[in-house]
Amino acid sequence: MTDTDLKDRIFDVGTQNDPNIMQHNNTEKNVTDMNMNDVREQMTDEEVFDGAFMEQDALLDELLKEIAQQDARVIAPLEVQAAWRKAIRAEAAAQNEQSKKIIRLNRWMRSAGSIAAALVVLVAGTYGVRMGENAPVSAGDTTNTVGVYSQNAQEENYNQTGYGEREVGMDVRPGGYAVLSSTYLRSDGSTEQKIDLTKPADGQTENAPNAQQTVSESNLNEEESIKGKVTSDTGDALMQIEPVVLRSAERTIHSLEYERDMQWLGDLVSEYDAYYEEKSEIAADEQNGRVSSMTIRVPSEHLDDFLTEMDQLGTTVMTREKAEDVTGRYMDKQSRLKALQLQKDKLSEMMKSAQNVQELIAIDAQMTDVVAEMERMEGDLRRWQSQQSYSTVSVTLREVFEQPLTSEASMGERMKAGFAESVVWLGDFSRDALVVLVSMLPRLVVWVPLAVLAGIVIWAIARKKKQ
Amino acid sequence: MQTGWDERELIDRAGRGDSYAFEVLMSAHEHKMYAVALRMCGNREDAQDCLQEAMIRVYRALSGFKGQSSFSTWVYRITMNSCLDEIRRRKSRASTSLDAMLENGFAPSDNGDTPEQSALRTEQRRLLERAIAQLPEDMRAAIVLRDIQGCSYDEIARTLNANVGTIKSRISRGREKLRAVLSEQGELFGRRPV
Repeated sequence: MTDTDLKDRIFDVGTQNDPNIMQHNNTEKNVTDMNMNDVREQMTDEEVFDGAFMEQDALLDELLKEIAQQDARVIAPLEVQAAWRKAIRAEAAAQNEQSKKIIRLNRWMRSAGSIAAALVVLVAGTYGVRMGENAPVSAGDTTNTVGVYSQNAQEENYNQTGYGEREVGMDVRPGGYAVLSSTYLRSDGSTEQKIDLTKPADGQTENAPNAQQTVSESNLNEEESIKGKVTSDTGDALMQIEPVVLRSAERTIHSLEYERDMQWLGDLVSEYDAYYEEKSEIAADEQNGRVSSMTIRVPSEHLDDFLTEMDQLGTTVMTREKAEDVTGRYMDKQSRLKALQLQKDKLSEMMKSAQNVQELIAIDAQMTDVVAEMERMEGDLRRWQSQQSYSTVSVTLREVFEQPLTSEASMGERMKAGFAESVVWLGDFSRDALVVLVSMLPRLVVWVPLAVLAGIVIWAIARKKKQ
Repeated sequence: MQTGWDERELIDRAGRGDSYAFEVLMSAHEHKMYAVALRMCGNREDAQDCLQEAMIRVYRALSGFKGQSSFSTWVYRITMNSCLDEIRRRKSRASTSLDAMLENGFAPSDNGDTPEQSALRTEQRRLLERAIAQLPEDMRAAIVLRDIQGCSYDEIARTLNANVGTIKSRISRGREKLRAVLSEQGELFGRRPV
């Protein structure tokens, strides 16, 4: 018996109104061992009083012990056992469900966070590209922009690592479809010019320090616009590569003097050794004047002069210019064309040494495929060369009888024009966003596995700590 | 434990949400918990509810059990608290009949007395149990834990969230009330001293 148990027992005895523990114990023993009536007859009144208490205390003790023994034998009925087990299983299931909900919520939150972050990056990147064109462009800016606009890894390497530094007359994104500039006629008659990429407004580039790769419009002369020099750092041999840049432009012009402007345009085409690739005219009706739609091929070296003079025609309500650098694809096709040429030569040798007709037929079939593939590639190369030599200018000349939109335009017209402007903006933004998104895909190939790996490591560490 | 499982391992597993481990763990305590609940509530339905509530409380709190007291003490504390909460919530004092308790699992002991002695003993116990059931719940809890479950005063004090002196006082006053009940039944328990 420990000290604590002994103290508890002493208190228990004390609560039974026994002034002396030993006496109580002796009396209790006597009560249980002797005939109570005989004892009472031999006691005084005081002793009888005390003895009656002791007798009751002893009986109380005994009965409590019996009740304790009785309780110790209690077996919970089967339905009671089943009830709490069922309740526990339900509780466990609820906790599991709650945990799953929390996990799902966490996953959703993480997904939402990722999507939000991606959207922020996408929107910010797109805005950065769109808005950054009006700011002075430094060499570093240009490098970043090139990175964003690169559309395939091969061509990105072409600019950044594979072929080294490039010096071009105009800043053309390798492999990229790029909008150089767009001008819109606003509802109040003013124009909004959006200079995309590296053709800055108001010649800002001239003030930009270290803007080695970007030129202002005034610097955009024939040779610089097309020719470039790409130096290779892959070896001692210095490889000169001509960038293949396909330029195109688009104009929508409203003309109050349709006949005169059409004549002027024809003179311009002749003057710059250009030609009409396509020309069509829609006749006037009661409400609308004539509309001419033309596709003009202009020698690339004369494109900017041609556009400058053409912009004197009527009222230009929309301009769009593009430059597409297909150098990477051009080189790739050239390489494959050389490989096919080697294969063709080899097949020719094999044909000469063929032993039987079957071999001859098999070689001939292969030769046919190789020649067809070569012709397809040569066609692409010729088309690119043609497009490089002759830029494409799409002109829509619309005959009008008054200024299309003036400051006196009605509120409805202004709302309509504003809405149309917003739609155009949304379209431009969506296209640019898509370009940014696609441009980032190669980087995601690296980032996503790294992020997943980091997540797994963090998760494993957290789980280990929890355990 | 008879299951061959280590109690600590079962506690850990149950604390991580393993309901099967919990059932194995509590199978060693459920009967005693039920007996406490039945003694406190006095009827099977309430005892079942209290046991169920106590089990759920134990299950929910198991991950936070640090082992500072023995597991059984901790479990009976939760059981007793569930019973007290249930009693207070229903604001009804249980009235226990031995017949009901016998139906609910209590079995009278057979100590080899003669039929007359056995009948007298049974009647005495019935009266005492009724007296216990009619005690105020705090006194009843102290008496049940001390005189029936055999807990130490420290354990009772921790279980009932009171100091040892208070517990001793409750037990003393509870026994006094029981003695008074016994004295009122002079024909069964002898004459009350004058």
